[in-house]
Amino acid sequence: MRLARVEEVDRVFGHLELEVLKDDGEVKAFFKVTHGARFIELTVNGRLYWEVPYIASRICGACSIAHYVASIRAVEHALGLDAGEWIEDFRDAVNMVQIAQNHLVHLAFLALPDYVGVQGLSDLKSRARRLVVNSMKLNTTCLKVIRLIAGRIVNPNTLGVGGLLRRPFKGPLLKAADYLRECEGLAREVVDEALTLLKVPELKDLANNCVAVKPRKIYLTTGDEILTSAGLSFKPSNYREHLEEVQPEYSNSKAVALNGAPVHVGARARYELLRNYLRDLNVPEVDLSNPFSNLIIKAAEIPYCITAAREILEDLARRTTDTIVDPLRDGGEGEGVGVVEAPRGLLIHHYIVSGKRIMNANIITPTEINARHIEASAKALTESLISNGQPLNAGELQRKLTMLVRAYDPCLPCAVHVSVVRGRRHA
Amino acid sequence: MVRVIVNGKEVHVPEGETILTALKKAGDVVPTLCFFGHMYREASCRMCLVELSNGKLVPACAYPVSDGLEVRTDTPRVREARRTVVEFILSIHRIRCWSCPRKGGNCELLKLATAYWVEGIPMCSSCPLYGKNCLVVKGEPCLGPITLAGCSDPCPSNGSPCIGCRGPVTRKDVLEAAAQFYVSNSVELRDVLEVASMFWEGLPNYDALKASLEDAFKKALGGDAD
Repeated sequence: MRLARVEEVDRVFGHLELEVLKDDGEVKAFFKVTHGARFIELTVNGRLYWEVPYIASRICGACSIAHYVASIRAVEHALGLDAGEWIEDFRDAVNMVQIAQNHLVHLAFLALPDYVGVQGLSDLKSRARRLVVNSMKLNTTCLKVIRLIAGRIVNPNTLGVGGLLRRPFKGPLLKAADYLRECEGLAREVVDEALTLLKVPELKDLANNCVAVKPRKIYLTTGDEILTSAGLSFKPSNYREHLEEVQPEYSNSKAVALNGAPVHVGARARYELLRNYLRDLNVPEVDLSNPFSNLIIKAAEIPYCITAAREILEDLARRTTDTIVDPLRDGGEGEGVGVVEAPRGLLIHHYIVSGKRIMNANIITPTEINARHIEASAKALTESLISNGQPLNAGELQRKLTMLVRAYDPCLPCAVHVSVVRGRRHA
Repeated sequence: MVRVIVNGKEVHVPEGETILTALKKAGDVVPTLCFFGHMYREASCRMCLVELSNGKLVPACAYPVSDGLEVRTDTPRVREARRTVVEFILSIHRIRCWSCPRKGGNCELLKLATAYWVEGIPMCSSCPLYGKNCLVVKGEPCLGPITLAGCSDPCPSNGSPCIGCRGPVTRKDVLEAAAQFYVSNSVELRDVLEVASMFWEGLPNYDALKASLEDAFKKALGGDAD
């Protein structure tokens, strides 16, 4: 028996269908990605390794920097290059600004209308005008900073394999830091206002399994180790032993399981696993077994990212540098995995390089990893509504389900980057 | 003083002046290339064509005003005529943007070509990298010399080579000159085609383009002087 079907979940990136069935007394949820397949892994195959970041960053317009950095790091690991600390810090700063901007768009424009009880952004503007206007201002500032230091808003082009393609001058770095300092107060204001509106529903999901990247320095910096909620840690190069990709028949995207169980990534996972690295991340009291708490931690990450990025940029300007290298063009042999905390969670790029070419590519995006966990949460949500003893209100269930999906912030163009035709993977 | 109506707006200019004066007074801008004040007003480029009320197209820089003259500066006919003018000018222009001192935002032809949708000018015309900073001179297979201009060069100005996302220039003489440029900086055809295949492989005219590029490189390698 079909309990609910959301044909097109709106206010998410891409196309998605959600269905909840009751079969033999058991509730089953299906996270069906209907977004068309995009063949990025196939496109990368056989290309020159320094072109890969250009192509890989096109996977997603919203978080292109995360894809850019992950693919650069993967190629660097494959070739045994070390970009140096200055450049790693620079990448972290750019990524953090992107995370702040991405969270802001998701929180203020996509998720918040649910909690205020309106249909969309234009209605939200009439109810919480100051919040919307301030969010737009903040969004513009973040994009301005990204353009200033990374070259372009989407698919930035100053970063390259082995170094930077343009020497970053002290002036722009300090100017970017100034922009960020000016909007710190605004960010805190926006987040405080958003948090007063965010009254998240109660829900416990049973499988609270998560993974996140262990940072090199502070919270949200890149690193080369993956932590799991079972207290384990493993090297990114061993990801295949732990994370298993399967292709569901009903979806255009793959789904990932951690040792056979659904697993989630994102702000909630980061907050749970990286408690030792939290510095000035001010998170209000949250129940981490509630999937909706993802939104609250996302909100708290916005001011943190802006402050941390500003500090890193100021530090970088102080030690402006001769470490800028021209893009390297020597080939090599090897296999490398790059991991990054993208706005939506753990992102894995894995390449095999031979000579100057990419021989094989595998990319795992946060939404793929979350897919099975969203199903588990949707099941838990439906069961909690059934067990309340009231007759099941289909409209209410549908509304709650879309809210739940939006709390995970899936990005479907990211999820369908592989070539899939009727459940079979080519290449 | 005579009364002239420019795009429905009335202005008064002294008798004996040209339409261009009236246009300036009305705050209207028409592109001019050959016009140079009192020193040159032979109306030879025809870029400043405007339409009169009787349907005639006349050059604004040379046509004298008369009382009650009605002038329109932005009609479909005017745009089409100006487009043709730009095409004519470009057809006799020696396009060597990579070595042009006007590259990097000072090219009037590029502005007109973009405004009137005429193809043929390569990316190098707006690229800010001069001399030894040029990526092709450094030996990189940058697609600037054979890619259509029109974006604001975000890639080369940030140090990464052009990857040709705006599509190729198909003019043969430009391709030949570009091949000459590539060869003189020891950039190989293989590398250029490698980068070009990323965005151009699916184009309907890609095979023809590839053939003309191969010819151009052969010619350049054969030592035919430019």
